[in-house]
Amino acid sequence: MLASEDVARQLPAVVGHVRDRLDRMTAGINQAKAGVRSWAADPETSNKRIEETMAGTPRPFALTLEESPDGSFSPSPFEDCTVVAADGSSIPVDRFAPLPCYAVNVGSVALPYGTVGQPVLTAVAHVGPAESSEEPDVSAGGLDLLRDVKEMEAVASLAGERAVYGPSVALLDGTLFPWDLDSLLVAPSVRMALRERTADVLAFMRSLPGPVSLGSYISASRAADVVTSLSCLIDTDDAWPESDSMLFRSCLSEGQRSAVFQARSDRARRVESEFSPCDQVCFFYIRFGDDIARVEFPRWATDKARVERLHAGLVDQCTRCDGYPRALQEAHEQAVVSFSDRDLFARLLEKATVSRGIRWQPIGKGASKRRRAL
Amino acid sequence: MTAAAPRVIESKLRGFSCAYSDYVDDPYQLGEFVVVREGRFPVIGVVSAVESGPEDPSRPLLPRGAPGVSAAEVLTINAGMRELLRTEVGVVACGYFAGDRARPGLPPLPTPLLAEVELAASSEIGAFASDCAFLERLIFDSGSNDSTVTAALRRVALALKPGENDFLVGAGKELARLLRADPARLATILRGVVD
Repeated sequence: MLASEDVARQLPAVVGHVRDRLDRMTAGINQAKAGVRSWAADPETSNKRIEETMAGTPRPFALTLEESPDGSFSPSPFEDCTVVAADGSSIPVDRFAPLPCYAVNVGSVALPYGTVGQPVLTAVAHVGPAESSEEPDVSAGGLDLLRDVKEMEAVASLAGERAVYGPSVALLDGTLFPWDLDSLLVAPSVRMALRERTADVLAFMRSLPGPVSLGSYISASRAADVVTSLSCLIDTDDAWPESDSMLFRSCLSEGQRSAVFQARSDRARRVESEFSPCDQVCFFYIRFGDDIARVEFPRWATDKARVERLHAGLVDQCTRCDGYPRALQEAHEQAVVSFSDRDLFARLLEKATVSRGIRWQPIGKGASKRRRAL
Repeated sequence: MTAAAPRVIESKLRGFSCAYSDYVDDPYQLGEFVVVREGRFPVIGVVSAVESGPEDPSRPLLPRGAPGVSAAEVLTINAGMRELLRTEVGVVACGYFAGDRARPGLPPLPTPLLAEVELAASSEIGAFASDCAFLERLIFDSGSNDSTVTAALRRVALALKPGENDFLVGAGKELARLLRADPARLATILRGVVD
């Protein structure tokens, strides 16, 4: 039980501390805005200076691509298209379960807006490890990575199916490249297999005949790539903004997006070096209410038409769903694994275990959690 | 587009609930006779409730749509919305088929879950309901009310056309027998049929 009296007593001090920090940052945000103007005045030289300053540091930073970094863009009118999205949930291995077993549940949706085809809202579960399966065994690590890759594959599959019906916007939740692609906690063989699949998915989407805009949506982003780059251009003692969202909240109006930037970092270099250069991560920020979301996409998807369709599609989607893309919300709803689902999974696993003649009894903490007796 | 037949999602001896795969504009109506043909004893019943709403009750439906926009247009604009809604139909079991005979009363077994629920043919309604023996189940089941009984009687009369008058006279007599202790209810039902 939460010691709520302790919480209530301590919270005001925590909030006050943050409030003070934010107040001190106002001057830093203004300095950062001046930095954006200076970057825009000479992007090439500024990019070079940023790269030189950031060389050898592990912190992510950003470079401009073609648009001026001080640009803020209003959406073009939304045109008929199909919006596809996927999201996933997983049930990790429970060490108290009779045997190591996990599940990945991927929800995917296709929502046609003025285009041909029926709406699809569905979920597919994968249970592992299974010897006959083509999926890698991730019971010792890599479940999140497998889930991320399966989400990408689900989106690509839907986008492929819908390509014949005209333009589409394909949405993912989170970063474009799965986080654990370079995680040392995941076996190299698993990482390699899933990296190849990620590359295959991106290549497949790049090759689709219909115009496809791809975007990976990160709501309430705390990334600091742009302000990190700006810190290379401005010499100041003011408290520097901790995230790009602090800067762009003061630059973007409702529904507007920032310029498209290239993401750079040691990690990005490590991961992206395994992919085609045209898959390099680019991004813009977009504002809905107080949310500054980061939208990532591969470099091949940065042409004007794809970015404009993605931007207009996101504005339309967020308008339908109180500031979050409706297709992603529905994909999440399809994918979500509730507490009762987890219980059901555990019971099905126990039943299957016993029916195959494997003796098993709940033990230790697992048994205690079930009993909760006085 | 015709919706696929609803399927049984809850089943008891006294009746069952069935659901369409998503929201339908034109579900089975109050008082219609429906049949579940699967199972050892095919069951015939009367629609007593129709309900539509979100498939997930924890996700309330927002009143979307600009002024003047029809419900159908709102559903078209909001692609995928129909799939997140569902229409359910409640049915009072009034009898069952044993061999080629229709018997009024509770069936020996509930309908199988996920069985398809079809509208009864006029000939089936006539064969099952013309003797009014189904009325006892319908009148005294907690799942039905006076409007259900009235609507069902009208459906039978329609199925028996042009011989509906004999049926209505017989139904009046049966209702008078069943509701002799409740003249107010008897009057309400008779008025509903005559209107």
